[in-house]
Amino acid sequence: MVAVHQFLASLAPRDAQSQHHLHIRDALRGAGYASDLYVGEAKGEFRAQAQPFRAYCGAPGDWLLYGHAIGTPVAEFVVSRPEPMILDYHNVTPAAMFEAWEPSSAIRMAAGRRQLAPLAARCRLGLADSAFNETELRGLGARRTAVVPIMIDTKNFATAPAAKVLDALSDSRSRGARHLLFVGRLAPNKRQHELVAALAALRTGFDIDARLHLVGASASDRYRRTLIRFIEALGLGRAVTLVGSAAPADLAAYYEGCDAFVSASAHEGFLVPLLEAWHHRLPVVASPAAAVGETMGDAGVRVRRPTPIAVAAAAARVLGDDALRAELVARGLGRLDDFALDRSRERLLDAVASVVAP
Amino acid sequence: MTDAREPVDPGPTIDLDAVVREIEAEARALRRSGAFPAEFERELAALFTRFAPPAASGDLRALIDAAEEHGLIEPFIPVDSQKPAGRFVKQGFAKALGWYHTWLTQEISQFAGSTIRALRVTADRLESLERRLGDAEEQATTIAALPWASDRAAAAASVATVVAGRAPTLKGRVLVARAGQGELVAALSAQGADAYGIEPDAANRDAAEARAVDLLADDGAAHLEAVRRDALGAVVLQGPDLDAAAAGSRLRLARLAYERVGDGGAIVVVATEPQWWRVNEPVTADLAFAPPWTAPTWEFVLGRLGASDVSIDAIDGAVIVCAVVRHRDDENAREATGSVASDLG
Repeated sequence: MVAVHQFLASLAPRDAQSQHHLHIRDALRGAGYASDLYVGEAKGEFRAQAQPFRAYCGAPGDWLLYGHAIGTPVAEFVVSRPEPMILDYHNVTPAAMFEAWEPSSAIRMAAGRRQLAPLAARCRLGLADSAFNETELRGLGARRTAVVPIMIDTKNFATAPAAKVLDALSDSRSRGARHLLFVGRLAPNKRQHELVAALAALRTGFDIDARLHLVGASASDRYRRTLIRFIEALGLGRAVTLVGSAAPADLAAYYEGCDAFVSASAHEGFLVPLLEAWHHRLPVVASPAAAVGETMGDAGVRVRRPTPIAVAAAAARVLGDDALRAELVARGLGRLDDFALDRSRERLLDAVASVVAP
Repeated sequence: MTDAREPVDPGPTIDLDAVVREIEAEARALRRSGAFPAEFERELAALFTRFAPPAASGDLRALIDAAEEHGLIEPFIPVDSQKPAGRFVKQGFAKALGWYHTWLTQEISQFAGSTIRALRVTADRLESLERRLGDAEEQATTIAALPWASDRAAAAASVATVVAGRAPTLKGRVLVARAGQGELVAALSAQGADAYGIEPDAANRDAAEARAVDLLADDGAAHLEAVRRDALGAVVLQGPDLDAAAAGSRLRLARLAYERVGDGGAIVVVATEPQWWRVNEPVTADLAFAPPWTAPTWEFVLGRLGASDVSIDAIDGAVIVCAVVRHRDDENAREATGSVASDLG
């Protein structure tokens, strides 16, 4: 049996990329390949799913599939191995976006970029979760590439919402407030501060009692502190909620209880929360930066220059236009089908079979 | 307002592109209407910058200060632990390895201190250099696009007509580098070109947006660096990046433009006439890094890059140099650019 073993920097619960690689493993095994996970670090209940990458000994006929997203010794290990390799590229955030905020994180990102070139040149097949990422791989010398969207089982989005959060949101909405949501780590590249500025514009120029919920753990303590000061200086302490990392039920409640999903992110390799928003029938307003426009397709309102007033104008239009909201919800559900797990699995297996048969 | 979770019935399909255009128009109208305080968006940005780490501003001194802050490592070994015996175990290690830890942190801090001292000396010298060149640089960057035109929209239309005549079959997007207030982008679009512009000055971009021309916030060379080779149908170079920049900057801009235009595409240089500078903007002409180049100089530079069919059209106060891109192999092009640079010393 041909083996295609996966190598990753880390495997962690509530992480879309970790779920993606578990689905890849299951898909490969289902198609008749042997496949195990080797990681730099495994966390929580996922510890039992993987082995340390240095424990891999190699066997004749093995292939390696390496998922790259940040600078890691795992990349050096994979490059040094003699086995043929498939690279699965999730994009590395440009270090410049973090340098002023978290220099140590920026160094890891820069290392991730440096590691990418030899990986791309050496891989027999480059997988990318968006054409945006695929272009980068090709530019670095990958000869054979394929786009395979991030593999997510959208059935997992159907968690029962937490009643406490949902009730609070419903109560607020019944009193006329409108709730905007963004889900993603608090990070300079995701530009949550632009959403806060847009909220200020929405409340100032559109006379809407709007609220903003930012769900996601902090990737930069400096950015989080700056964001809090910015919110306080604008007098928006009661209108903006920094939720932090949310349990699945709480997250589902935010998706169910809010009126629109908004994004001003400047750099994303895919933006998984769009899929969750569509699943929960939430209309989307987003800047089409990096891979966001490609993931969104025609299932959201694009804000081409995401200035505060432009984002606010788009959000106000979506909040106030019933027909537009219904259309966006319908388009979102249609777009979600494009990322169905079965389809992504099929694309993955076709791509892998083009270089190695089970 | 209905709930989005009601059964989906979108009714007739909505033209989302049209909705986006309506939203953009509404945002522009709101900015003009006084619904927001003057400078609302800039004040929001300034407020955020006030709370951001000084290094986020790109200020060199602030960056060195941040490096200095991170360069000092206290020889303190954390011993707190969530496990009952963990603290005692860590204290044992700290006691045993403390001497080495102290030595190591001192070595790293020494290295950081020396590096930061070198950076401060570099900053001193750089600031001295900037002080000497500062007036000229400031003057150069305040020059408007199409400075010689009394009616910039009419002048842009004239330039677009010349470009359309000289390069009638452009395939691909046309970039107007340093687009000013968007007059030339609008004029080229009116001629049927798929034109877009970049402009680093926010006030110019706002003025362009008011006339429904969206410009990207970018610098000419940086934008061209980010565009892949052969991606553009044509590049139009104009404004202060061309008329008042240092000779090396102009050569670099020309080379980047040449590389980014596909075979058969065009490079168009809209250059102010040196004589116009001397008569109408003598102070600017004196303070600029270098005087504007004459049409023969541009013809020479573009020819050495490999362009063919160079045409020169004169309009009041400026020349329009139009050249067709003929890619030889990259090595030849690089050699040619190097030759131009060395020819000019």
